[in-house]
Amino acid sequence: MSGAMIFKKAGLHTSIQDMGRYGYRKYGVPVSGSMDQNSAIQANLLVGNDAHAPVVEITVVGPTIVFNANVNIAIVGADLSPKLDKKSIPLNTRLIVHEGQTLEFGKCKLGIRAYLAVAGELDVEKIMKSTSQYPQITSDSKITDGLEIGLKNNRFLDGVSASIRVDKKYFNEKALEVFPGPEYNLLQEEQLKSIFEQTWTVGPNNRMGYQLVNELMPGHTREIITTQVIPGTIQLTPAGKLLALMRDAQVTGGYPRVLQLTELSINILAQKTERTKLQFKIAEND
Amino acid sequence: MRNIHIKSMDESNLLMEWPGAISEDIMREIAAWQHAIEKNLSPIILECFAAYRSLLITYDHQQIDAEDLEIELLKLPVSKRKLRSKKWQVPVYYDEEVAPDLKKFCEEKNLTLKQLIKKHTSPLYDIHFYGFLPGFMYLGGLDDALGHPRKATPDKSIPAGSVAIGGQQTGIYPTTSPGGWHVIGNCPIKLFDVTQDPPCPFKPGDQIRFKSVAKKQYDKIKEEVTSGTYKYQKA
Repeated sequence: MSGAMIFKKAGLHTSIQDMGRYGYRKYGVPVSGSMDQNSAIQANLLVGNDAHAPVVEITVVGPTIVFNANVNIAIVGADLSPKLDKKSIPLNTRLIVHEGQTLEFGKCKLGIRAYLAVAGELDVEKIMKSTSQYPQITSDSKITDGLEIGLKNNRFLDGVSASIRVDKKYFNEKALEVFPGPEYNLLQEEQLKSIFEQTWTVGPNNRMGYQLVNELMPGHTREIITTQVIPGTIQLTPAGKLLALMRDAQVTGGYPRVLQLTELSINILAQKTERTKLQFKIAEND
Repeated sequence: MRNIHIKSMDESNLLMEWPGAISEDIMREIAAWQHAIEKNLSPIILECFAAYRSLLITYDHQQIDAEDLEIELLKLPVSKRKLRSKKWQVPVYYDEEVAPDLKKFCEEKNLTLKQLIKKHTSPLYDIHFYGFLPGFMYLGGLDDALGHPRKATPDKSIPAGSVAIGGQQTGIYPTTSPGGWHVIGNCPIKLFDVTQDPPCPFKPGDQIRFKSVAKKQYDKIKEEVTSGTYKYQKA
């Protein structure tokens, strides 16, 4: 029997993610998990799944998925213009998809990562207590053309709808909230000024990290002994760039950890694309 | 509490830091703390993992906050006894066939191949922690005479099993990856296997010793690893 979902086209970078792989960093295995966990959780809750259930993370260019069963789905996060059988469908809503229908995506309008949840349990590989795809840990590092995914415990309900309101501010937010990092004290006055008074631009980025650039930021020559880094750790590179580590980051690093993003700011940054302008502000202590 | 600094990283991570230089003593003390935390606080701790002089604790912030966790940490019965550690033998084939940098490395360090092998296989290396890549061991104990600055431009692809030296460190690339260290040999055994739990054969706190093997032995071990019959050897 074929799977409930057939990925006719995989899209730019589509992968299965959950809330991360904990317990294996002591062996050097990154945490992984959905880049924007807020959106992933909301997608799951809309279809009645466990908040931490695996979802499909869709980046910029979405996949084409044919459904082989009646299912309930929800898409939360970036607006990648989703369409069901060529008709636009809303985000942030529990939807009914009938057997044989095709889900496609179009223009990337707001944010860059969307999360697709399906009511039930995606029949995906679980390695080291997590379904999050990561190179050399799971069999595949992302979804590829032609892949079929089954659905266990399909909890399809006809006629039950639900939706949530997501404030656009979440995607337009320009300020990233940070805690001082463990090596915050290495920052010189001029560097502090650059960080907190000037504008930063999003540079090259992926699931491992986001480069943040400000030409006026002075560099440094300080190396530290290899030590732990976590998602949200912002390292200062010798060239004066900031490197915000994301969900797939290595577990250790050797650049000073000058700042640490709040959990909310990691999620906000995960929706940013290259050339977006950002500012930093110190988080209120909770 | 013995000069340990505890810092909050974010809403769910606490960092314990030990002052001073990298040492076996600190490594053992951190291991004892990690053991005590995992044993006593596991319901509120998602995981904790060590680096040279620090321990990072990821906790469930819905169950406890940083301040209360710090109080719990201070109450922990941390054993002063050394945790049991094992010594392992790790085979290495030191030959240009698998180590493109070997000849140049010997020339630059003014060592014969025999001298290099002797210096590299003599120490008992401490596994301080894993990091960089899944299954990559941070080892302490490299002979000072073998230290060598990293390559200015990293290589795009270093094959899995490559045994290399970079700065004052030596290590084994568990999987093929980019890297800036000088490759001096190849280790035929598996250091990371997703089908095993734990995925690594050696624990942080264990020790390893490299053993030089000839081509024939290297090939034989490779075959054993492929067929699943290889047994990890004690040193």
